[in-house]
Amino acid sequence: MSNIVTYIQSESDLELLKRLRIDLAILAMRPFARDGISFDEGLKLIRLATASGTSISLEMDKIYTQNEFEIFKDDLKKLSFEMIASLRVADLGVAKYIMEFYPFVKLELWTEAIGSNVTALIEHERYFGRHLSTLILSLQLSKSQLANFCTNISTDKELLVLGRIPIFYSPRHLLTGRSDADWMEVAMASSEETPHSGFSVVENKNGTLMYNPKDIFLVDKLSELMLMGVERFRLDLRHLKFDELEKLLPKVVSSVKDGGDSDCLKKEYPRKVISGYYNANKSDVLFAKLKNPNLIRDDSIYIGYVVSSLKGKYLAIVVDGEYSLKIGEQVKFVTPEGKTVKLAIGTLYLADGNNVLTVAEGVCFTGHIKGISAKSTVSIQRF
Amino acid sequence: MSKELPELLAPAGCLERLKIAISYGADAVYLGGQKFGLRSAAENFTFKEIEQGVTFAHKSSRKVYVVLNSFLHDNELAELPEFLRAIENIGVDAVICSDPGVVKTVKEFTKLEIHLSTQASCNNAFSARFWKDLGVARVILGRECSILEAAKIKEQAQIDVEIFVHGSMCIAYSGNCIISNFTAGRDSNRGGCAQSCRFEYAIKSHSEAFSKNSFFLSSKDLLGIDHIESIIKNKISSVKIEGRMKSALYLGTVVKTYRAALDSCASDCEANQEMLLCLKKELYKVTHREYCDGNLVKVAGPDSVSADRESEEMNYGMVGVVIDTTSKDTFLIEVRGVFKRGDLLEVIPFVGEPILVGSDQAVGPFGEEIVKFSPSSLVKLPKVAGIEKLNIVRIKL
Repeated sequence: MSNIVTYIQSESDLELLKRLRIDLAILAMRPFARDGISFDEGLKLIRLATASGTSISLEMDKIYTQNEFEIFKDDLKKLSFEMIASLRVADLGVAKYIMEFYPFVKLELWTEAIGSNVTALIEHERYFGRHLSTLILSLQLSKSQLANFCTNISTDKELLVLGRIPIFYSPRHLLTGRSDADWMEVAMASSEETPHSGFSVVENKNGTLMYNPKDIFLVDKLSELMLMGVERFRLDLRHLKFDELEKLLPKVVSSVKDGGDSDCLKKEYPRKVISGYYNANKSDVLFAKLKNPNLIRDDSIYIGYVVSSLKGKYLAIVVDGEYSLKIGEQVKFVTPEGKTVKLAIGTLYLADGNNVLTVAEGVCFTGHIKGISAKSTVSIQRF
Repeated sequence: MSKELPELLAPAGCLERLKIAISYGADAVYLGGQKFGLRSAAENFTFKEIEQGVTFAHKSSRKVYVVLNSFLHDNELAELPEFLRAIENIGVDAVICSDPGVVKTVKEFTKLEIHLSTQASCNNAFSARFWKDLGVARVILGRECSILEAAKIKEQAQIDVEIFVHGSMCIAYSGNCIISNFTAGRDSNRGGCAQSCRFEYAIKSHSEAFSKNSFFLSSKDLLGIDHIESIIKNKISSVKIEGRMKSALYLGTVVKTYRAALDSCASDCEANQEMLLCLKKELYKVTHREYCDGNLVKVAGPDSVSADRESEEMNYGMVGVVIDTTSKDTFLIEVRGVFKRGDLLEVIPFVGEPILVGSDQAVGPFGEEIVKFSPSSLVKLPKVAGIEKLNIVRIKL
């Protein structure tokens, strides 16, 4: 049976979780979490959770520079680890430090940026060994990738199935420019240069974060995910009001436990939703269009490229050096637009005007060829 | 006695720019193959071009690193060993990776040296030690690290450290921005960054003060030349110039300038401040956004973000590249930017002051009378001492 895990930010959240019999909660508090409640509020909630029997997984997803790491080590000493079930770590330096100096603490590793293939995750399993309790999977994995991961990874796996999608994390204070005391500033950002609008921006002492305007909704995929073997489903509903959360959370729990009506839940969800990359990740299909394939040379036949073309006068060719350009040789010109001209080289001369039979490397000239422009490739024409 | 200098590492977006970078003084270059890198739109290198680049670099004892810093999916990882064997056979000096799966594959199939890409956001000594344990020989630190922090990481983790010293900057922790992924369907960590951070945003906040139209995600460019002495003093292993997509003019100018700055600090005596100031002015002659020194000395503040969209300043333009000097009396330029006959051109030699060349006698390669030269044409000029093949030619705008 898969489990649900969600964030608590207040006593009310904690009580709601108790009512729903969710016995593991994520607590995100500064300075350890990129985005979270204050340290004092966090400590208070940890104590309350412990007293009420709720386990706490402490978010520790901040990335640390060397100087910040020194402070982090001191901050860590302020925690009572008997009240914390696990640490959710994104910085591999933090993970290594915890493993070495707090070997009794369970690690849950964020893999959004370090887990796009099975081999990477197996490396993390091997390295952190028994200290690693959960791999927090990337939200950019398609269902086929997830299935593959689940087949090959024995460590528990967690996936965000409902809630906000973090898309940007900078250490700079981009809204206020402040970097002094502990504070939080929230704003909405929209740009005419993208069809998406309403990016939620949060700035605090740890820097600036941005969230996708639409939330992830994979609640309708839970049975599929359970079958695959995802052990834990995460909800991040920290941006919702408590009354919204109070209405939603029981329905999500019902979806997990009893296969509740996810369509109804989707309709009631207060924000627009997407399924992200779940069905397919085609975020690299456009790459081929970023580059002109006609300009990529074929190493096995490449002679050089046309550097200049003067109508009725000449084509200037830079011979690359691997293959010579010779009088009488059958060559193929391919323009940047893809037009191909095949012919035998009739004349060949150098910049001083002297005719030559062959050019091994450098600039040379031949007669102008209609339709062949600068940047065209010149290759050996093989039959 | 000379001080030990860091390696000067330059981008090579194509074979020509590799040669330009090496010729202007780079100790090493980094380039991408047709796969596995983060610049899908760049020309990138075929295997033969990598081989030619390696041959060119090794002739003068310079190094070539190949980037494999895309976050690879399993199907791509399966294709990696063949690519790795090919580049190892060619003789590349190291690969730049950001993914533990890639690192493991490189270790398993080759003996190639591994550098950790800045994409991995390695910013502290424990993180560096993690990667060292996996087999990484050098970490390219996140641009969030200062020079002093880099020195501490080097000392504590006993690993070579590389820092960026010049060029465009991600404003996010590298590898931690997926705006493109969710808004443009292009994976920024797999080569498709849509540069969403350069957009103008309308910000609405409860506070009037922060509600405005702003390029609030757009970082100024990094300019590290003022801190060269500190970099040397702190024994940073390598300093890196950003810009595989940038022009030959940018590359030649920036590499030459940092080469001269490093060399001027090599002797035991204090660097010549006047000379450094002079060199710095050169960096203002290439296309750039407003400059800042990022986090090199202190944590980047609000003045590290651009206020305007087109803050790129351009006071010199590219005219072209010298492509032929074999003739006794003339040399040929491949024109890449418009100029008129009569304009005063500046040829940038590999070492030394720019050479001023009048273009009154500029003609086509066979003496054709041309008044205005356009890109993709050739211009012939009377020979001037000191001008070599691959010299960059610019013009004051």
